[in-house]
Amino acid sequence: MDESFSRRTFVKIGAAIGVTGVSLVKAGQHTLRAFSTPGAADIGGNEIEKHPLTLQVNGKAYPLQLEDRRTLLLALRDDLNLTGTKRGCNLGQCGACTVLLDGDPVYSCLLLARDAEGRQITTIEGIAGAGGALHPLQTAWVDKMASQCGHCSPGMIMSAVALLQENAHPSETEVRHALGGNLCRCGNYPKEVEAVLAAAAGNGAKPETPLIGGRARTLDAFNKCTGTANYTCDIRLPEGMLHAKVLRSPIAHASVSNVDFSQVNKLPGVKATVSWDEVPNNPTDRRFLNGKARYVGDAICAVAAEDLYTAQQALELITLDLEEHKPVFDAEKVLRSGSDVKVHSNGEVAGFAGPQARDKNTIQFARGDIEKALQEAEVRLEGRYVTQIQCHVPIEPHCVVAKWEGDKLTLWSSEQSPHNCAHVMEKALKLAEGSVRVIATNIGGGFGGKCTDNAGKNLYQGIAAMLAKKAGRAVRLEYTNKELMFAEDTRNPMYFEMRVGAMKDGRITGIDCRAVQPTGGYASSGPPVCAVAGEGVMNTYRAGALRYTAYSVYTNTPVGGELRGFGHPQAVFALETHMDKLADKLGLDPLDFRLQQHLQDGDKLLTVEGEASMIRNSGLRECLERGAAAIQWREKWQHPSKKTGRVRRGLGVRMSQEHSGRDVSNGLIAIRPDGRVVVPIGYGNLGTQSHSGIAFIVADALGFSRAEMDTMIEFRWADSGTTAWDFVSDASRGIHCLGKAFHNAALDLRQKLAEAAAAMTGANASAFSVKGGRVVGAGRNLSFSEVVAKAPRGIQSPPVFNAAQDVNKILNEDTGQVLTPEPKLHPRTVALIEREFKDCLIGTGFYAYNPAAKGWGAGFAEVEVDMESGRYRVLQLVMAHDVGKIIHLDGVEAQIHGGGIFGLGYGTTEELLVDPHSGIPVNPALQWYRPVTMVDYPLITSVIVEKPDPAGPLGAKGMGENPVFTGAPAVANAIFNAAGVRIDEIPLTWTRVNDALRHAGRLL
Amino acid sequence: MSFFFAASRLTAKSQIGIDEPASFRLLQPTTLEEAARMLEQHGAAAVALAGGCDILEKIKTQWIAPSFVVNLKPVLSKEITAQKIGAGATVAQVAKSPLLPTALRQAAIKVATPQIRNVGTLGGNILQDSRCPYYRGPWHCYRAGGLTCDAVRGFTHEHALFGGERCFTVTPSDTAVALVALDAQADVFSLKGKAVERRLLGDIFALPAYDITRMHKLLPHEVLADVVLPAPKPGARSAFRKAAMREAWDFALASVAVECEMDGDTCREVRVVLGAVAPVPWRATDAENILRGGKIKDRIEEAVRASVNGAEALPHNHYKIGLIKNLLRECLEEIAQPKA
Repeated sequence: MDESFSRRTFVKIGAAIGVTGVSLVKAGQHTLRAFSTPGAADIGGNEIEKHPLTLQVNGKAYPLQLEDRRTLLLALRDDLNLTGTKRGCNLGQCGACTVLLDGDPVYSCLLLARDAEGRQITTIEGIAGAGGALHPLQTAWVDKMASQCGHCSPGMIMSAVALLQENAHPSETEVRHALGGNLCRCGNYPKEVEAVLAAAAGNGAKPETPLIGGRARTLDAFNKCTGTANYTCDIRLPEGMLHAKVLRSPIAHASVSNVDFSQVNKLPGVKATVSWDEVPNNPTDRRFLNGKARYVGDAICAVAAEDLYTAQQALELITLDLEEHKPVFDAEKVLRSGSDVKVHSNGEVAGFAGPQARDKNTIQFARGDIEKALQEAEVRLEGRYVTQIQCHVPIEPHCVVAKWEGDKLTLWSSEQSPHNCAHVMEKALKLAEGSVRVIATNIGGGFGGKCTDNAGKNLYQGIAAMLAKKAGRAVRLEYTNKELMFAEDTRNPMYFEMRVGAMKDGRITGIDCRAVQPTGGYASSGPPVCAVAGEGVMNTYRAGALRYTAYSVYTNTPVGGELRGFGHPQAVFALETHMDKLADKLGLDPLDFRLQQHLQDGDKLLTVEGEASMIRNSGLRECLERGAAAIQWREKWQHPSKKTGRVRRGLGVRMSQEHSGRDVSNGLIAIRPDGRVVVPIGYGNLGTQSHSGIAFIVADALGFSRAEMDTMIEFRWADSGTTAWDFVSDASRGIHCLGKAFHNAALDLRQKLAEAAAAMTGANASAFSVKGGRVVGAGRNLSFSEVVAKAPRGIQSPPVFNAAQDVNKILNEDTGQVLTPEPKLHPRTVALIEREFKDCLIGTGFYAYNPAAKGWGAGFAEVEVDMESGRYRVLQLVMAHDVGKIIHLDGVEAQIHGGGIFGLGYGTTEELLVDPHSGIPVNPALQWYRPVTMVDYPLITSVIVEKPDPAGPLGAKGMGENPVFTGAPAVANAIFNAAGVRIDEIPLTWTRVNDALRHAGRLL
Repeated sequence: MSFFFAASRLTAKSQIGIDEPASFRLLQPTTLEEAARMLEQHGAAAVALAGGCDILEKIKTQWIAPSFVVNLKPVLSKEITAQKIGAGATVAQVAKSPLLPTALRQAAIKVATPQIRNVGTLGGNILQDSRCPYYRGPWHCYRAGGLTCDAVRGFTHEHALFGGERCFTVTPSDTAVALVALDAQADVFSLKGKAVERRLLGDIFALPAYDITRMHKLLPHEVLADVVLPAPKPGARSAFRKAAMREAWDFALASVAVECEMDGDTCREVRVVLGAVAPVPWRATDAENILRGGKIKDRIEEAVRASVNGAEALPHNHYKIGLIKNLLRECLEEIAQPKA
């Protein structure tokens, strides 16, 4: 009976006169403990005493007036403007804020500024040598590409400085332990260790390296290791900024019946408030402030104040009346029998076009008669697989600074996809096309969590924008670690029911998969994630018939959005664990089974765009063969039934494809009348170094050397106001999609230069080539400025593309429809040219992704399992990836290492646990969420396979996500190979291994 | 339809967007006595700060909002000798100090990360608060003065095998486990006698049955001043092992510290202490009884089996039984055959 009616409870959040200490909140079936803050009241409003103190930073004395509560981190960053020291989790659990205190590394976020008085503080700004020369560690950081996103780099370098002062020649193990307190979410640990060891060994000269396929220095290497790279959180406007804070629901499902700001408005320093009912309506299921909270952390209203402390205090003074509803947590139950209380009133299932009835799937795609195929099979195997919520946890929390000038809005934002973000924000705020500019020069890690590419995303930038409009001042909003972990989108958990039929010789007759995805309070990217997960299930094995049916179900849990891999990590875990079981049931070596049954060139792909594309240039077989050789599969592999002893080793393998991105890209290169080249790259700088790779592609095509790139080309990136349109920066698409559009633009420009030179000289255009900023041929050697002076300027022709390769169908994520894009420049690119490059010679290019150009990969793991406890260690990962063509070797290796480590966390340690009764996240802190640390990653061997595909620039394919898929299935399969038990649920915790061993009677 | 209305309008504060402290006054005592007096005077409105690694996290998330923070840094001794360690000595100092017994150094180097070891103090490490996420979250937990435990019907991966009673939290300290095995004592400054009192370290930890809201028995006006090690015992050998999912940052999922006083091959006296499996450092007396008076290397497996006698697993922590066995075996093997 308890579940048949809605219990309504009024919950009041915020200040309550006379209530301090612990108080109770009745919240439906739960009793939540309220928090108490007697402190602020005792001290008395805003009249906070400040004390004089002097900090000794980098050898200089700084007199300051600070409150007692000021941390050293804030004193450095906000009072002394030394922003090289980064704020990460702000709770001593990431290491980004590491500085030296009398030579010892410490977390400046966990130290009061007053406690640092009289001590020598050294920050990243203080380690340069005479005349500003780089510290040897910084030189090594540049040479070894030890920064991906770079947000951990300053702190990590400080730890390394302390290490080398104490131990000039550390071993690899000593380096890893000394830097163990610095998380790198990009997983660039191997290159960071290499850099420290190189610096200790004296940094030889960087060897000569080709621009394409080599280890050329990236565009932002210098800034990221010196602390001069400006991230959004480092933006300081001369006119000052207000600080915003967001009030979020502490309960999982509730309607807001009243928001009362009357106490807030009395607090000195508060400049603006905004509530959910002021937010413009939006056609999706979500707004950036909501009148109904659909998960713990849902944003309801916000305040902006003169300083952070006041904004926090104001948050407490908001009185909020909530009417609680019975929360919905069980997606399967909703599908089976519905729910009397709905998360969204117009449907339980998230479809592409919004909420829909529970009997309607989110997506289904099929080929052949699956029931008949399973009927005909000699062996049938069923299984159910469960994946968890993963959090992005980039080291840099989301941050935005919003500033209005009339009707024009500038957003400095930690945003992966500046162009689409600008477009989406214009729609969400009901602004004219072209009125929002998004600048995101550096982002401290993205992984999909900072990708504002549809109106159903979090859109926290809108909160800052509305507050800024109301206050008439610029507003800054920066997430706390908790907001980062569960108020922002996460990786969807998914359940897969697999039914596979096979003949005794291993041939697969059919694969049937039903997937259920509890997508949380809002759809976000849930439906397209379901679709791409389906591609992951359908496109690895040859099978007679296929069927994939997915349901994205609304639940009152954290929202599942996009996260590196976008459905693939979930699907590949389910498929590859299931196929491993099938191989075992058939009595086959799991490697042999895969070598026999994988899809090959000429086989048809089944993607969301349909069945048209044929596999070509697949490097999968080579990945399997070379990966197996690297891990010594043939020498080491033994069936688990042959293993004995307390500690047992095992090998596991997995394989898959991954698309090389999606959607449309524009390439644009301009040569100014003075001969200077401008390359305005629309890609976000989220740490993948795709923008560097694209720069190398352009420079190579135009005949520039790495040194000439620095002096003769102006590279821009990640600014929607000054770069060419690109759809998004995700989906492994940087090099393949945008790189191709820019390669096309470079071909266009080269042709235009040659034609102009031909017109000037009367020679044939084919006689000319371009090199080092000059056009050479027919006995002439012309500078760019000479040629541009005579050449037609502005847009002279449609963008260059190859009709056969470069224009393909794309899925519209908002509607679920498949469209064929028009091969023309996006209006924003045209507007940019009109605005800035009318007097330039320009080359333009177009590309819409090609589904045939798949990035293939195979991963191998070796583990050691203790049969007494279930404790296991991953000893080695071998990651073999077909990248088509290496554009930047450091970048490829870094993606393989980083993806491998990211996937290892996904498979073994990371899970956002959500309390099953209240829907409240249990472990929203890095300490308990456990990303892989510097000390913990295993030996990682990367095997790079090159099977070029003509769709990509110089043959390159996407590869940023596929490495993530190894951790879960390869380790699960290796645990089976060692211990003889299957774990069908990730992460593969020691609890789960122990339980499986115990239930199988195998625990020693 | 039936509706339930709360009897009165009560409050819950949304903590999700907060990570800087409410205002407080930092008090800087110059003597232990002054520090103790400040703590007594302000009672529940004051907290003590030693290294601050935990207390500042609590204050910044406003899980607590004290009006006064009493800084113990100026008054705690940092000195380390073979017999006495100042409570203000950093964990890093302890880890690096060759004067100290093996198990303590092995435990100290396993604490958190270099940055935390450089700031965190031995005293703070020993007297750490519970790390149970249900205690530190918005649940109405017994330990936080509430009236239920949501962990036992939620997630219990980190929780206790022994000594739990309504509350199943575990002692998070690595150094405390080693120090109890080393038979250490605590010098506690008490305002009552205005002097230092010496107590057995193992006795200062509180089981839920003693007081479910506290991890140790020290009173607000009492300050842990020094940790005292017993005079060197002939043939004493010690070892510490810790199992954690990650080798950096993580608290133990299980730890074991052993000190044996050896007569040649024979174990004259022994203490086996288990960490992270009980609310306090937990003596495995059955294992001790097996080892005492015998040759260690002949009794390892028997002791390992006995070490988990009485363990009561919760839904998600059965693996800790195996971990304890793994770790005790490693400790005893090291003690039986010390590396040169």
